[in-house]
Amino acid sequence: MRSSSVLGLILWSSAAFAGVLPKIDLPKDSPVAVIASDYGESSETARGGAMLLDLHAALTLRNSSQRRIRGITLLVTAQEVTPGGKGSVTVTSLDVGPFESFPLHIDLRLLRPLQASSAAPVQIGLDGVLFDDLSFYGSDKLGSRRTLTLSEFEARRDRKYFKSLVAEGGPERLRREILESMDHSAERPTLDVQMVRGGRATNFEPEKQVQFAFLRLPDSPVDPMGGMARIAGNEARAPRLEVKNRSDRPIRYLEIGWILEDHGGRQFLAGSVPAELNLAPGQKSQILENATLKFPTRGGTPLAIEAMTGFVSSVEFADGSMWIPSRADLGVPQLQRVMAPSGEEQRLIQIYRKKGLQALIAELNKF
Amino acid sequence: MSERGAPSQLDASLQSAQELQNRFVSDNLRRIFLLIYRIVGNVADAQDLTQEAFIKALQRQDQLKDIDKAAHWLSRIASNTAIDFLRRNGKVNFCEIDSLVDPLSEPSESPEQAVLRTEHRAYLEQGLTCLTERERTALLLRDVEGLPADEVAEQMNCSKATVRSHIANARIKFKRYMDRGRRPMGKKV
Amino acid sequence: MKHPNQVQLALLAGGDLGLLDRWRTGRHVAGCASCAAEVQALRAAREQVREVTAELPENLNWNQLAEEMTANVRVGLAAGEAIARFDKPSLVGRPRHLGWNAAMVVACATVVFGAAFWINLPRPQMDHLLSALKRVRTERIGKLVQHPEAGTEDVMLEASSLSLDLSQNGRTLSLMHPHSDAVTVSVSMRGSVGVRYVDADTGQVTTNKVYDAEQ
Repeated sequence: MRSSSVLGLILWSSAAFAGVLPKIDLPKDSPVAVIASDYGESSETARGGAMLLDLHAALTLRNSSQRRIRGITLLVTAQEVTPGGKGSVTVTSLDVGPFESFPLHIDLRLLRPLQASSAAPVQIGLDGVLFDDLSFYGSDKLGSRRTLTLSEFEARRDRKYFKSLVAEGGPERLRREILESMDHSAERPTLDVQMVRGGRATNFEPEKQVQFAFLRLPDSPVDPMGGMARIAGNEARAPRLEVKNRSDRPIRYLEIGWILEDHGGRQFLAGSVPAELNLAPGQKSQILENATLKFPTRGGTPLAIEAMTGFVSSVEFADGSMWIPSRADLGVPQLQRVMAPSGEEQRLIQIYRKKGLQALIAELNKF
Repeated sequence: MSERGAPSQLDASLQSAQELQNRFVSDNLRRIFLLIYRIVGNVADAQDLTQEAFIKALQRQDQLKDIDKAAHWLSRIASNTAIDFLRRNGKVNFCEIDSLVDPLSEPSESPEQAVLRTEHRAYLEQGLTCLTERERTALLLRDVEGLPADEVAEQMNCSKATVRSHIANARIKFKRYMDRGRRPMGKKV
Repeated sequence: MKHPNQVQLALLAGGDLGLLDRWRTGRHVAGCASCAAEVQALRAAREQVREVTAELPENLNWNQLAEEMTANVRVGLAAGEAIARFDKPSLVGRPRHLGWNAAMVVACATVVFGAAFWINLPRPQMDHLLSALKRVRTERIGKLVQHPEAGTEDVMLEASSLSLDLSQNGRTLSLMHPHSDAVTVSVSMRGSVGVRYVDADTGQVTTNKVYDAEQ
């Protein structure tokens, strides 16, 4: 009796959980297909008047195209719960050949009403796939073409740099560089952040207008001319900047990295101020974003922002080519203190940590 | 119910009160709208807040002791309404990227050609957006509405010294902005 | 010769210095050409502010707007009066269901006084009329008949070492990163926050992001 009721419970809960599996919707001509999905660790539990869904999806995707895949972005939405926003899961630094498969994890949590509709609470779609020839497939609603391409450029830059270290100074030179990078990562301050659209200030600190200082990178095709933002305690909002195209090519997109400094002199990278624009050679334009960043302090002294520095972190020209800071640019002490290594560098460091120097060199030689 | 063709005394007094109200609104509508518009920075919000300010004022007209001070009293209600709105919503209205006017003239264009009336006005309007909300509000109440500094302080719920500071900063910034428009930019920070 | 600082000159330009400071600063300015020029420039800037703020925004049909605002004020006042009549204390002492009944009164007042406007009002004008009514309703009646506008709750994005959260109307979607050793937080002022990490199981560079609806 007991075992059958337990079995009944298991069957019931499996059946019940099947109703909350995400809906994965890929286009018919998608270059990737889901060939397996495992939700083994997922659960749904009642919590007050709502259901807490803990979804752990281990997907296996297959490259069904003839080209090598370098990056992919999946779009994740929960219209019933948060109609005002969406999420994404992006994997970069991939090297997936035609008809090869690769894993992708999605771990999310949401509270849904008890009286929810029978529709799947989570929808997963494809925003984009980047191939090794830098061609792109996808709806690009989230701007993943640009994000994936930038990541790929950074990855190529860093792999080339590390290979040059081995060529110039042998494996030990590479090892020293990796260890230095790990040291910098350990020292780099990390902060939690909240962002709200519309500039709603939530603290009572007096607000002040603070001008940007700028870190000028010598090869940057864009010159930042001036700018300011509103600062109140641990909140920074509504940055506005003026930039000039100093190259001979029209620019359609750029990002300005935003470094904040607190009253103790600690600096950290707050975020980036992006701008889609049509900037002809020699032309100036202003960039303006109406959002608020807040840096909540979980215990300890609250942050008090005192100063700001901006720097050009990426540029996309009208012809689709891109500019990113070189390794030499990133070696500037102020940037080195605040900027995290690229995703590719972090991946290579992970390989070194888990498998050693030779495995790292073997990985570099694959490309 | 009045006799046909001959309004009763009550009807007459009601009509007169209505007329006074209409007159009060029409005499002050543009001024109050502009005051609120300059504080909040957009027409849609300014319209809602102007309506709200007049509704509040007319509902509280028994609180008005001195009829000669009605205009000032209304300004006070209007600016409080706008300031409360900004406080609740944290809205800051900068001009949008497309509508920004480049104050610089192109190298081949003379200063006289560059300064056309509408461009000049747009440039001045942009200058107001360079001020903080509090600076702009203090400047508008003091220099445009002509309220004395202590009354501005009361409306903005801060000390007279703070208001003076806002007013001075606003005047200095606006003047610097005007100076900037007369010479080429390019000053590196 | 010690010149007054710029703040003092700015206050002098508007007549905002105290008596003694005004005399002292004025005396200096009278004998100093550069300070006098600065004060003159500040006064000219004040004039410019007065000029520009006296002008209506470009392309605004003032007559139409004024008519609309006047009408909305009238409707708002009438609705307020309707509520005031309802608010009078009852002699019977029966508890009143203030909220919904008052809303009915307001609705009727709206129909009675606003009918002429409703028929021909384009959507944006209707919104401004509703706004005039709503404010009166909310202030007089309070919580029971507040009408929160759909979609006006801000979307908040939050990134921490534990999760990435998208919150709206008290509900939250969280993207977790249980397979990570260390994360890098990224923020785009365009409306997204992200967390990047190397997945400990797959060794892949994974970035989770949450976006507000405007992205």
